[in-house]
Amino acid sequence: MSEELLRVENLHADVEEKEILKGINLVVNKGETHVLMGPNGAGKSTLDNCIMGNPEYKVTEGKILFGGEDITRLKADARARKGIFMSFQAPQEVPGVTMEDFLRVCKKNLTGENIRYFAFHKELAATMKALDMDDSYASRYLNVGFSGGEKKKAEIVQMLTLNPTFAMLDETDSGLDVDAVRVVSEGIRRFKTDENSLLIITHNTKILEDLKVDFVHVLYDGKIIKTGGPELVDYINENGFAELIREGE
Amino acid sequence: MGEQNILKVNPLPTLTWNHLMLNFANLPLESGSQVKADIPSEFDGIETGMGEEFVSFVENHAAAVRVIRAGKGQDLGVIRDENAGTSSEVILIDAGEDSQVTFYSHASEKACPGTQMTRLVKVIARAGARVTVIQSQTLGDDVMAADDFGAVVGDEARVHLIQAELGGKAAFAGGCAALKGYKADFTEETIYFGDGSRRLDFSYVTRHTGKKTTTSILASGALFGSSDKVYRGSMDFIHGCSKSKGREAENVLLFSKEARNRSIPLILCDEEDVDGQHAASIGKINKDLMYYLQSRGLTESQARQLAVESRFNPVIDEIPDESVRQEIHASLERRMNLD
Repeated sequence: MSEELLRVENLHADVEEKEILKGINLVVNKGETHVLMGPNGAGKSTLDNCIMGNPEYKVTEGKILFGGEDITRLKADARARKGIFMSFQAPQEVPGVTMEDFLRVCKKNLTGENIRYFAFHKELAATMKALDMDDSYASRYLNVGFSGGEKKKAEIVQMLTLNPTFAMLDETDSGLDVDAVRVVSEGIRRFKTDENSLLIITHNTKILEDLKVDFVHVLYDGKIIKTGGPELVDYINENGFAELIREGE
Repeated sequence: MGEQNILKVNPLPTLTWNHLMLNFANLPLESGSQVKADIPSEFDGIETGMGEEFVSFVENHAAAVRVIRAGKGQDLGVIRDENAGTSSEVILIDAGEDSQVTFYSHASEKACPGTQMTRLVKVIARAGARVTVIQSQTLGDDVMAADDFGAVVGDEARVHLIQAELGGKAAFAGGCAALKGYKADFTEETIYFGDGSRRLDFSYVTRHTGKKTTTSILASGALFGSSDKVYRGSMDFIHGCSKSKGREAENVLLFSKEARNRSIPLILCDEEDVDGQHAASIGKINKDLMYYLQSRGLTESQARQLAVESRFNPVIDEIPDESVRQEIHASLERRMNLD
């Protein structure tokens, strides 16, 4: 039997006093890749943010368990230290801090170990090369002056460097050209092992082509209205969400 | 113990309402033994940011005076201030035509044995000269700190001033550039850190008289505890300085409701064909940025420290001494953890 990593139970959440999530139930086991799809405004990003611990999203009911531990009230940094990672749709710019320095500090903080400068530099350069990203970006201020696509790639560089147990990718493929989607997809495939899990929000199924998807969930109006296997992606590609929404109502 | 003097410093070039108490600041300094510094006459009358009373005080109590002269076309490289942290010092830089000088003075907590530290730097940048002056301090909480600067900038000369006021019981700083030459350029960057009950008081003035002169005055700061800061940034476009440009900007991060922040940007204009701009951003750290940093495992205090240092780093990185940069980072880290 697979080992449970994340359990979301009857999760209700408000943003600016408006209820967005209306009772989400989700279990992600170790080694699984889950895909979250749904029309705009369904609550996909809200779910990611609730799992990551964004203080702007208020959990009003239900709970989130990670590795069997209730993390519903933990702050984002404590969740990150437990192995949760989120790739942001709109990553923040951090002027004054280079990408390499930032990642070294984060890695040291997450692992509690001293990071050897040259080994880290070499590893980071290799990761960036694999993502077709010029390693000069490592010495630039994080995300400052990066194009939309470079910011998304930089998020994947962060994921590969920090090596979380559970990674959520929030529309990482949006804003990427076809070649970049392929490179990023390859990066995600490289990250994935039997020991970690993924939750991917996407509208673009190209990013899933190289990945073994275990479950697909359709979110609508704050609830998961359908869960299926990878075949559900093809169904949605052909038919959209309308029929599934009708069935769910 | 010397006699206590109250000096009127950091005067605004044009007075505003008295009740705002912003026209000048009162700087309490103790006078030790009177030592009249031997100041070469070419440095007489150079206006500074902190004003005449301060200049007169320092020149009459200078424990150290240093004159640096760069001949025509000479590159003196980076000169370190060996006396940084003494109670009172005067540095005079005469940069000849097309010469280059970088001078830096860092006063750390260890380097300052007394309870006050005053530094005055005057610069003459002749045609085509490039001069950089860096005054930084991470003094202890019992030291009264004051850093003053004045420059005359000639044809196509460039003067760059950095002041990093990161410690002390109180820190007063000022700078003034008289842009007399054609295409004379002055850039100034200040970073300041207020914690505990530190008082910070700044005044920067640029006098544009030459044509096509340019200035940029930027300040970034963080205020914690019950610190209290006043920042005056004044650009004076004098008749005849056509096609001159100046911009000033200040970014302040407030971390406490008790912290007090006052900023007075001032543009004086007696010439039509000029471009002067000012901007200010005052507030808390963007909550989206805090969340982003925390989602990578940084605690709230680490994220806060990173956000502050990220604003300071571009300025700290210009200090040409790794050990000073490290000392500044360590000092900031210690202070932010204490809060």
